[in-house]
Amino acid sequence: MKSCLEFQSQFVDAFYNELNTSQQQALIRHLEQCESCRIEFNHLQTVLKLASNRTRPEPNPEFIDNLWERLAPRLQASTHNWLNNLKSWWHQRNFSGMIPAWSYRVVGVVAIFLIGVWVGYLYFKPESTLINNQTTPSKAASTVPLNQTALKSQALDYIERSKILLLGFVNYEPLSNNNVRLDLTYQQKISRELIGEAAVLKPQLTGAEHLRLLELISDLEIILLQITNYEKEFDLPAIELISSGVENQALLLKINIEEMKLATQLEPAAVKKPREKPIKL
Amino acid sequence: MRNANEHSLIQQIQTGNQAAFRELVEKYKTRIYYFAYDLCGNPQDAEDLTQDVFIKTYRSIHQFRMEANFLAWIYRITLNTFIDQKRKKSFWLLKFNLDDQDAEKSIPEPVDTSHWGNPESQAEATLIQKQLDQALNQLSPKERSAFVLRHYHDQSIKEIVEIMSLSEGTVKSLIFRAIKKLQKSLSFYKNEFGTECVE
Repeated sequence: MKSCLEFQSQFVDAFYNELNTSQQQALIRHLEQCESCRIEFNHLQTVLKLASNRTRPEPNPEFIDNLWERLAPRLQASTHNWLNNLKSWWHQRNFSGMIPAWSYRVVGVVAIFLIGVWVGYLYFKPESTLINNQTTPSKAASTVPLNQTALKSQALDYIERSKILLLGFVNYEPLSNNNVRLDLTYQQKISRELIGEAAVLKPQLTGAEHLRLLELISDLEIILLQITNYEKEFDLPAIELISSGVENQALLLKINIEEMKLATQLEPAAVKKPREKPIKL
Repeated sequence: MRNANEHSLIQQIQTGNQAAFRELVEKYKTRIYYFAYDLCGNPQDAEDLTQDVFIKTYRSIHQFRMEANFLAWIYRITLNTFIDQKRKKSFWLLKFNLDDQDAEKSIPEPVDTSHWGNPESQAEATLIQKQLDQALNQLSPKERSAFVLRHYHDQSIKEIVEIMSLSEGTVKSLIFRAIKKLQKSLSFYKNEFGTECVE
């Protein structure tokens, strides 16, 4: 025995004559017996009768007769749209039938994943890789951890070479030197090498004892970057800026102090002799 | 035979023949306009919707599969375009706080329908038309679509299932809900419903 709710679910089919004969007879029997369903059925049927009385206004003849004239320019624009042409070509080729729909989703997910990896790599790649890409590879730029003596020796070598480079700038006199010969290609190459070495040295200078040395190397890095970024051949103000930076931060004094400190800590044999060939400016 | 002609017409359109498309527009324009009117409830929006439907039909005709029912397919485009426009419109209404609910909230005055057959009651008949339209406006887009397709466009439940991409049970339930809502909206027609129905 069906419930009232089940019969009510057949009302829509009954209104539009979509019930088969047996369903129709069962519904009629139920409506004869159940007063509430009968009232409900009659009311809803009346609503439909009322809704059937609704008339719609005739379409505006100006619109309906000239519809094609309105559509034609838009269709023309649509034909010249490259995206639509591409879609049309794709469907005419019937690739869509050959490729299952799920594969588009898989490709989409993989593409989003790869973009994510790429963006992540761009933002979070290691600093050393960045510097190594910008600078010339140096034989000293080894990532193998050094022992304390080798580390100090390398640090000493680093600040000595930086000192020589900076002395050239500090002692540069525009009046006595010929501007035409102001070519800093070599100095820039050395600066790049030193920046590369600093990137290797700094992570290894851990602990309080290396704090000052670490600060010095960081300060030097800034000056070296300025040299590396020097572009114009006769850019005297830039040279003055570099030399004033060296003076303001008392870099040469700091270098001398660290040199002495490192030299005393190292064995005499381990201390390298100063370079014989100073860098010419 | 009719289907064969239509299929050949569609094939020609798929190769870019605009004259064939014109023939198709002429064939379906009135039917689509009325469906658009039943969905939108006013001639201006119906005209815009009709135009958009034919443009979309032309753009996506290459996706039409010959085994499908073209009328159901074009109705589906109409419905999707309508729902899309409705969504955009409601977004802008929300954005600018231009709510047109006041018009919908207005409670119509009870009307005595005992003398509908009287030709002198032309103005009253117009008012009833207006109230029927307002009652349809109370329906959700899906309820309205299912109801107008069944009631005014003679589409079977199975065809509506195809047009709306819903299950048969959902379509029936939408139509039933629509009729119930219409009953509520039109409950002031005392003479038609009898005294029990008045809420």
